[in-house]
Amino acid sequence: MPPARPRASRVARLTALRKVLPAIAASFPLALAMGALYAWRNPQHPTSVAVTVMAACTWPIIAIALQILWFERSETNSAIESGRADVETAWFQEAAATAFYTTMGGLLFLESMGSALKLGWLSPVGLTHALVLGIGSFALSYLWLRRRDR
Amino acid sequence: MENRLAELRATRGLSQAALAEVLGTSRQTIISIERGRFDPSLPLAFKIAQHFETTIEQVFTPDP
Repeated sequence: MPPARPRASRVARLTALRKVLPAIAASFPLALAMGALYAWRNPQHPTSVAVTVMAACTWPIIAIALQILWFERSETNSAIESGRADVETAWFQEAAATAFYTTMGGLLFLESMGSALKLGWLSPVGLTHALVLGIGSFALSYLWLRRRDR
Repeated sequence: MENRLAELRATRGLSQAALAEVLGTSRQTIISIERGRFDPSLPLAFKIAQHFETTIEQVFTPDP
């Protein structure tokens, strides 16, 4: 016979479920509305399938967004407040600022080099260039800051 | 900014991780403060001072 699960963990799970139920319930009509909107804009698909698929895909996302932005607003705010006290937040902010300036300068540099040297893969700059520069410089900057402070 | 955090922590026999947990911050934050790499926010500085039952001025001093 398998050992009985501790009652405390079951209670904790039920409490957690009760906490997210309002968001799940409130997001259902919104997800249905998204499905209806999609079906209306895409009449080539069968209406019932379009509504069901779109609603099923958007329901969890809307539920999470509602939970974070509406039902747990105070907890999110306090998490942001306490996050400001951590050195990790300082690294994050510094890395984000570095990534912003690197991306702006880098895109200008790539565009001018691409135009001058007539390199098609450099000019015109696109979303891929911006993403590579932005994410790359953010990641490198964050790692460098973390290494520096250790 | 210079600080006496490492010294105060040592007098209480606290590890960096234990102090971080008490203050509700990360161990890396304590390491960075002790090395003078990171100046804590005012609320965290107050928490540190309160934890060691002293004043902020007794823990942190501005660079000369």
